[in-house]
Amino acid sequence: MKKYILIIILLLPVMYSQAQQNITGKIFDTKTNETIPYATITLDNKGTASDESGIFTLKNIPEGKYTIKISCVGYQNLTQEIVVNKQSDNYFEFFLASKTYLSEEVIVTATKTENYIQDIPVRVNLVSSRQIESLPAQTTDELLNFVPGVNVSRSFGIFSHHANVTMRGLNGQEQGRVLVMIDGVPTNKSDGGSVNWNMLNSDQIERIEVVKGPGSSLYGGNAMGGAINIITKKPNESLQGKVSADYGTYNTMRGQLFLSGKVNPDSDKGLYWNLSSYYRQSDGYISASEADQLANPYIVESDLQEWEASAKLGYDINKNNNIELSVLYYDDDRATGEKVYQPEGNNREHDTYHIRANYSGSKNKLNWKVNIFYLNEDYKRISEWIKDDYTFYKVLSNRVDLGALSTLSYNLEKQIITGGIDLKQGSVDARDEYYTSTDIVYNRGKMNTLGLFIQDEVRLFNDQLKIVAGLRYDYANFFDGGFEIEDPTSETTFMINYHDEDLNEDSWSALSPKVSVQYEFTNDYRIYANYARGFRPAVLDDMCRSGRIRGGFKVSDPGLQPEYLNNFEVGADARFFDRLRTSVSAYYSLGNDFMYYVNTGDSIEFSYGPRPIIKASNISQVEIYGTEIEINYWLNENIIINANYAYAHSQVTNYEPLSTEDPVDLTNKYLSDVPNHMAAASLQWNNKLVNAGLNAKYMGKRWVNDTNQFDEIVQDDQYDAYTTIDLKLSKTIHKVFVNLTIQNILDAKFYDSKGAVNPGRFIMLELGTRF
Amino acid sequence: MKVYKLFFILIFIVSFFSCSEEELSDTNPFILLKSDNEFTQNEARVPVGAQMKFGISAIGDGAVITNLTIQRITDNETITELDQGMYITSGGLDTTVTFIKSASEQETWKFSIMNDHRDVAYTSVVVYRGEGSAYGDINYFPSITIGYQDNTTLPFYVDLHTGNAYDNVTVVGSEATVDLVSYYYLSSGTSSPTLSCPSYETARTFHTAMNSWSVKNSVLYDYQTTDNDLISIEEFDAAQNDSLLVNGYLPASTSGTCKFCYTDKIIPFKTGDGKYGLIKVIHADEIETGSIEIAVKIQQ
Repeated sequence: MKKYILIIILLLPVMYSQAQQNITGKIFDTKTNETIPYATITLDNKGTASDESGIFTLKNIPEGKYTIKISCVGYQNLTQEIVVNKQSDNYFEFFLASKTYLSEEVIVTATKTENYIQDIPVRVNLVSSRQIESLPAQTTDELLNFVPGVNVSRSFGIFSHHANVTMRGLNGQEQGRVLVMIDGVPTNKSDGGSVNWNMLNSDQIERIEVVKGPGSSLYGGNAMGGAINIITKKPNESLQGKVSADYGTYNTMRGQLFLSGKVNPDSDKGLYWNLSSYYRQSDGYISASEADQLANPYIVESDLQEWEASAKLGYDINKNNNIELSVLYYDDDRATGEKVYQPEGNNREHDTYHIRANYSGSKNKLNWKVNIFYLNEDYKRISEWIKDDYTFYKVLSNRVDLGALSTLSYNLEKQIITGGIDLKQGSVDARDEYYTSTDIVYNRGKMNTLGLFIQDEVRLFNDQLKIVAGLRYDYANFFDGGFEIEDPTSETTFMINYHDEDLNEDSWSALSPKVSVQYEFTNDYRIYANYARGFRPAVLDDMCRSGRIRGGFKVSDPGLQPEYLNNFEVGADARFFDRLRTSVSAYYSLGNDFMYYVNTGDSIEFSYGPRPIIKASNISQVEIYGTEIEINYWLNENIIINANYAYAHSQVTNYEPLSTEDPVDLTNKYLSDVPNHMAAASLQWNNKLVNAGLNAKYMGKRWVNDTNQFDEIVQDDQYDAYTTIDLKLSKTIHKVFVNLTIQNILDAKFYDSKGAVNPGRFIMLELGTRF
Repeated sequence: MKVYKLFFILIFIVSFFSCSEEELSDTNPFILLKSDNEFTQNEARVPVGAQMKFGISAIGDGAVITNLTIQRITDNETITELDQGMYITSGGLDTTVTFIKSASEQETWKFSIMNDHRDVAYTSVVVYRGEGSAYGDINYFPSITIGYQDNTTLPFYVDLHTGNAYDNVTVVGSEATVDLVSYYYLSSGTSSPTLSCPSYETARTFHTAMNSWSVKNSVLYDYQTTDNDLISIEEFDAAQNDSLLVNGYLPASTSGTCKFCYTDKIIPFKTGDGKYGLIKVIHADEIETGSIEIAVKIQQ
């Protein structure tokens, strides 16, 4: 017996070695056929990961039939039967399908490093290239109209000379509280905080990243309510193009051209470029209220003409290093609906140049990016009217923002440390030049800003726990300020006391911390919490320009300090059945030193009796809280349904008047132009007949003014709620495409604070070709 | 290579448009005062309270005339009597203006025009005080009551020269004589009984019938005197000639509408045909359906 046992023991290794095999596999992306590194492979109780080439090996697998499971971030899990036996080479190829439709896209805005949305412990929304194609939008800001909690204010559609995109309970008329970037370069102007949304051509846009909540720990000023980063396209084909023309409501017509190419599309090196341009004109419509039309014989249509040209030239030095130059020119002329004698009537023009250059690269564990930018806007406003006599003057303003931004990241195995230095100068040099009197009023000022930031991203516990902490310090200096009046008459003589050729210099600093924590239970479930502080710098217009405003006379204040927002947020994401994704966020913000126009207690005589003197001041504390809920459902590859709802409560909690004679007390008043409720729903349906995008948006009531008082023009204390439904139908036959866009199908009417009305239903038909 | 060419063409286009700063050429506008006998001449002697009449001719030298400014300069002060925006494209400016001689021994009258290139021309005359006084007679209408915009019983329109009041029916045929209308509203939250004139746009939003009138008279109200109560009720009641009417009117702070015309306010005005006057508000309701009762004194 002992002898048999000994034989069996001696033969066991031999038997074992004959029955067990090594299997080798290679994992590919189904769409691109590129290999997928770092995928996780499990087979029974064994596991491994694919290497940089997407190859993995599992050793000592007994012959037999197995179920192998492969998962990788950004891809759908794969479960597949394989047979292991000694007759074959036991080499297998696996193909993973991308999960891009479940918001696993890589974004860069939230941390200045590449991360999947699900790996970022803040609320991020992405407007993807697919959505951009299907959204019924005429302008770039309208692409954001259906993002949860985002408030797009564009009262007159394409005829609006400016638009605002705000979020999370902040005033819908103040773009300065949300940072807007193009390829990481800020576009908010220092003069007023505004962004010229009209200059952005959606043909150039690859995607738009929206990061909710304060982002000042990375970006500094303006990133108080959130940050929007518009990422432009990078050519990857030898030659691509689009030529189209569209025509529609109010005799609106547009021609567009987009060309791009890469010299060696299959190489990591090489030159690439794109050119784009469009021209649009429209007869416009009468936006004035019916009362104004009756009383004012000079009311005309608010027409428009605009054109844009841009170019990008880049060079991929190698796979990891790239240099790029982008130039944009934009020119518009938008009439504002009143014409007395001037050929164009009252109108606004912007001549804008935006030049960006960047160099980005990586070596070993280091990544870096350097941007320089120059934004020059020549703004001209013509104002003319007849009341007692004819008045005609021009506002001519040159606004410049330029700077250099640098970011350096050090990538450790479980940690990424990012830091950088930003320099920026903003300036304004403006004058109001009267032609029906001798007056000229000048204002000018400059602000230099230096920002230093550092951030640490750490992954713990098998990457399930992620912590991001950051801190930024900004120092700003206001200088070269002046407010001068030349040859005053009754138009301006009342403000002669504020003539000051050398306004006081002033400086301030701001510290912006953030801490974010996320726990990912599985690929399908996560929760996060964060705290961040954001700030909005005072704008040059409030620091160096005095003048009439609605309700009084505004005096400049060079000593104006930034306002701050401390935001606490929690959120969760869950994915069910691989096709249903839900997300919910709740936030609570406390704002300090919020800027309001406040009565100083003094008055000035310029017409119809004494008018209050007002200045922008850091006087109030606000409390904002709200929630956002979003559901995305992919019925299949061709049908996507989205619904979202946002609630915001924004209230002044403490108001400290500058004067005891100030009759205004904003305590407990609600912030104006903030809808309590917003909801949106969309359906994207691609089929053989036509691709359709149907979108609906509900905007709740908004307070008209800061004092929440009855407004004589609006005839209420709140604007009415309204719902718009938009539709886009697209059909491509070979290289020819047709788009039909209908905005505001229900022809809903809504009014601004002057009683002016929106353009109503707006239909455009586009015909073009892509090659 | 075509790529590079396209890029440089674009840069060129951008550079080209960067040179679009507006620069207007210099022009030489011209102004002169008419020398006909009907007009007050340089170095004329004019009694206090007498009317001075100036005839003005001006050309813009190919540019649009956009402003006429008339200043009365005395030893003590410079008063801008007229600062009027205009838009005269061809044929030049040809107008007549009248003013009343003040008590100053010597007045320099400076007449300037500006065109839309912001080029300026001016001329001036000196007028001395003559002997005696020439203040004129006035008409007095002790009580005129008109309704605000939502009043359904009272007339709306007043001819300040005659004191006649009209409603929407009786005004037909007399539209060209109407100088004054009234309405009530909240101005930036403040209650405002308001006096205005047919040419003032805002007035026509409250009294829309005036939109169809072929003649819409203008009247300028001195809101500074009104707001600061520079003329008392007693002074108004005591005025027997046009001295107070002329001297109480401050031309630097005038408008075609006068807000905040509360009870007991005194409002100086000047009609489109150059008549000075005063309005006393006897009673002003503060509701849209209400009315305003006024007394008027005006130059004959």
